[in-house]
Amino acid sequence: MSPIFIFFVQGKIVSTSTTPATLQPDTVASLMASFRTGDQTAAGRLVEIFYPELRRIAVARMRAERPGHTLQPTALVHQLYLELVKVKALRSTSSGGADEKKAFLGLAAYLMKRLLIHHARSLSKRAQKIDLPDFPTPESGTEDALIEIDGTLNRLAAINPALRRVVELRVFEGLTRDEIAREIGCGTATVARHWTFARNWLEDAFIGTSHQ
Amino acid sequence: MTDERWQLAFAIYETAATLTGAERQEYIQTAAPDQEVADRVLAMLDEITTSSDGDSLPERAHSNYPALEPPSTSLPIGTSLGRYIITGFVGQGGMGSVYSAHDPDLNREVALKVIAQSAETSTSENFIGEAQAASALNHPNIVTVHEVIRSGQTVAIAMELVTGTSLRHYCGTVQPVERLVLWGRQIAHALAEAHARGIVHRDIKPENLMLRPDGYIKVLDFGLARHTGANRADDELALGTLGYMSPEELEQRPITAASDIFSFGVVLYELASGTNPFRGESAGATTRMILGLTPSPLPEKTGVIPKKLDRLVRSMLNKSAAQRPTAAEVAAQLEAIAVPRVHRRVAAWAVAALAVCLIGGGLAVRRTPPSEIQISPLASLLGAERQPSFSADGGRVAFAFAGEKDATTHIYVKSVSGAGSTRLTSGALPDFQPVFSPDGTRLAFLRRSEGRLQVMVMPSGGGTERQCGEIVDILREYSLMTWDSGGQNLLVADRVSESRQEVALFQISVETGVRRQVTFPPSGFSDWMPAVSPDGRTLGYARVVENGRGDVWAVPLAGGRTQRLTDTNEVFFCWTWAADGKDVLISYRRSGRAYLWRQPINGGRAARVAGLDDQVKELSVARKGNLMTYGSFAEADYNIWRYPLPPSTDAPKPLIASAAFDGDARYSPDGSRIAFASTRSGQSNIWICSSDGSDLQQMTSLDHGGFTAGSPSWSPDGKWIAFDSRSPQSASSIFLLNVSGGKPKRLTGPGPSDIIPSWSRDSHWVYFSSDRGGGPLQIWQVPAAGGEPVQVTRNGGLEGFESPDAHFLYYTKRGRKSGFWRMPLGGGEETFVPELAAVANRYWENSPQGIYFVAPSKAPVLALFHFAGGGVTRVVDLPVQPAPVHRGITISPDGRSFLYMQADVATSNLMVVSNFH
Repeated sequence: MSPIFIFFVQGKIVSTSTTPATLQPDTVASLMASFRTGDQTAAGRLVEIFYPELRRIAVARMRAERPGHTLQPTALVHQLYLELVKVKALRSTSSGGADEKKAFLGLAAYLMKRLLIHHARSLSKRAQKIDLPDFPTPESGTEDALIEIDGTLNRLAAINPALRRVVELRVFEGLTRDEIAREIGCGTATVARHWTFARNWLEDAFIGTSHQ
Repeated sequence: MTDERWQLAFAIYETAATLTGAERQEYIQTAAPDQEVADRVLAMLDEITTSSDGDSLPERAHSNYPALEPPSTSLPIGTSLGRYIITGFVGQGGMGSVYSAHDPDLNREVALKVIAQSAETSTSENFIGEAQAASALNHPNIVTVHEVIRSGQTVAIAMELVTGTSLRHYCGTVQPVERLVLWGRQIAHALAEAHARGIVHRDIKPENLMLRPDGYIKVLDFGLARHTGANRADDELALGTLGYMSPEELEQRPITAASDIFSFGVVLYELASGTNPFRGESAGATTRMILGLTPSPLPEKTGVIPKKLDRLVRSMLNKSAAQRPTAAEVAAQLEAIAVPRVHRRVAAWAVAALAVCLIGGGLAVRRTPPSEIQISPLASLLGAERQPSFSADGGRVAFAFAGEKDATTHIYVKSVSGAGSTRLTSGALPDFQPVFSPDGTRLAFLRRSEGRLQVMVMPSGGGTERQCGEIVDILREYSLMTWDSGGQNLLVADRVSESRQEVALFQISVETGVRRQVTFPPSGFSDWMPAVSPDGRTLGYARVVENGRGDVWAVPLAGGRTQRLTDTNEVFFCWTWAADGKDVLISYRRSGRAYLWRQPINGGRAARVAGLDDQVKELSVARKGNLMTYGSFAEADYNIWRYPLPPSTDAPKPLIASAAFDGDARYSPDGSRIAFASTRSGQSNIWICSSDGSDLQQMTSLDHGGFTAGSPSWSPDGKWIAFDSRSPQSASSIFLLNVSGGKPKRLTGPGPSDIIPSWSRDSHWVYFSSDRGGGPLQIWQVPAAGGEPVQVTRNGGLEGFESPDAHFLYYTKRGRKSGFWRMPLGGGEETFVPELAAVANRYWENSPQGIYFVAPSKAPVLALFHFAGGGVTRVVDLPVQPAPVHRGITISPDGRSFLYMQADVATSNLMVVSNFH
């Protein structure tokens, strides 16, 4: 276990460019190569790169769907994977990139889990102190981690679907309270209430699993 | 805490949030099953109120992105702020910089006011609250606030972009009386609207009054002045602001609506005379004049001002706030002043508004007839069925649907009584919004093609399609089209012109394609959702502002005056005429839910349509047969799938699917029917269907006060279903339902929380889990015929059943402990069943052979624990992870298949309401 910093911005992005500048095929490819030789710094850098991309996809998907659509982390990650393959940042599995896909999925799942932990009540306050799991190693990354994220969100939705939705919009899309209220079509007080509840649950969920 | 307890905590939390003080405390203590849940709920509620915004967003720690700096200098063109992209700098004001910006989502230009942030964070909180209040204002003379964007320390307001001239430009010269009156009326109406909603402008001055080229006045910055103007005394006062302040503001007494009237009076005086009546050489001189000087009568300077107007303006400048007229009085007096060139549209609007106010206030409430409506699904296609349209005779429903294989939306028609749907269109382009012609022989629909919508007509039984018009694709989900009563014309919504955002209604001849504009919305308003009244004479439509807020309006199709039919001013989803033409049915957003309301058109109060708890996003009413159909969407979608059990190799298929929650499925003992819980009619209710998914029947309708019903359990003789039901106000109780009909009868409670019933083998007893007697949940039993419950377990118990030989009770426990316990029914100690240690969720079911359960694992497996011998065998792999809270599997008694609840992509479905009056 090693202490990990949280780098993610949760405010609105202000950028003079509307196209993603981070998704440089060369950068990703070389970082992936380093990561696969066990370079943890590369892993950290990749996670940093993937976050805004995942969020961009999340936003686009949510916009394209009807209100009320549920975001699926697995689908999200696979879409990013396909985009990375398309820009040749990753090799496709058919051209020998099976390990690369596995490593990527592991990183993405790790990223999502860390985001959720980051937003969990009280854990967020201690985010820089608590031990988070190590970056996944190239070997350890599998889809299981993604399924775990899905399962966590499903459990939350089972308590109440609105809770899952607030968490998705907040954590994966990075929306503000007002934007979430607008998106869902409810009052900001409701968003704040649901968000507070969801964070408490996340705290419980992760404390419950951190000793596994 | 376990998820079950979290779910309980959530229900308590949501209800408690609506209460305060001792009432809240008391409620939580009574409703919570134990102190842990109570404490947790209390702590979370405190957290909402103590954290600054209830959001507790993490601070930006290390970022790859530039933070949004306070706009000390202007933002460059091309900067994005939220989803907006800055396209130009408009000006600098006391409150910050104003930019023009593009909203790519809605493809419109907006004004973006970026607020210079003060050090106090509370300022922005209050300010945002004010801005939000102002955003609720919907008036043609008030600039619409679209939204407040917050980014770090910076706050920006996106609002309607107004092009025009500020009245400052006209203040230096004497203005003609006509202008004075026309502008004054609009400002007065705007203020009256805001004041009626308790919103005071606080900074009325010529700079905040914009005159558009088309003659409309737009009042800017409602309610925004108070929090940002705190330091304005230091600067810019010489220019203007000070000269429009009311005496009470200068004396730092409370500012009220009357303060706006004073400032408004100063503006009128200045426009009439060409000078500010309180213009002094210094700020001190101006202050003294405002506090002490009574302005001279206007005619002295201009000679042409009607006496009425002079008296009015000077009454507005009364030093005593209580002596000033209200905004509504100012409006009425200005209306009473004859003006040669009346702006007709404004006048008509004002008259209509007044008329509605008078009617609304004068009539008694009309009660809607008692409703015993029946709701049933129209079709059970898997996917999004949308946009239902009834044929006039109520026999058929047309709808848009994207099939499982073909993702393109096409037009389908289904007979209400028969089975199966007929697809009418095919091809690569999406078709949607079908509408039956009045005689039912034709269907009109829209076809999306490259940014345009083609208006198509075809025979309703299928056949040749014909295009008879084209409209701009506005990318709204509103209904856009209807037929006139003769079936010769279509009424469609289209942009007023290519260059303008506003949408009006046009009549298109089906035969010739000739079009003519029939509604003329004021600037900033759009007319959508056309619907012709049942008598065919009146075209009704929703006249709304950009955010969808507005009312139903109507215009006679033969020509005549436009009337407003409702004055709710809510955000619309859909509306239509009730079959008798006396009421309208409207779905608008309240508390985030789109419920259906019935509103009499001759005034009177709106009432919720009783018995209909679904959210209604689309609807259609049949002219005959008391039938209504609606479309509804839910937020998450659990469906019940049927999977084969070896050796059967049938393909898995979704058996019970709706856009709502479907779960808790249970095969009847003879396997012919399935009971399940579904939220498809709003709250969770118990439903029954045949084993093939057909013949859906809603068995409970606990629609009073938000009851929900779940956990159905068949009696072994198949005659009864036990279920649990709770309301936000009371804990869950056990009820019994006679499958052959009748009202559910209460078996336990009210009082303690009784959940998850199951039956003894002889059908004489019902087991359930309860917190009665305090402490953790225990399994109790009660005679099915009614009587006192008896405690069965001593060390906790959640969900149990009798073994087939009736010697043992098997049960799970709540909390972290997974697995089953077993207790001899004749008395004796409980023992843990080690083979079932892995059962950690509610995905299990007992069968005569043993217990089927889903072993939680990365790759879930259905396994069977054998009563005989105690071994566990693997039955079949499962493709989808279970959702842990609900009972998720049921095994068919013939052993060929099992039902599995799983989360699917959300769908929508159409419901038909019969006996709808």
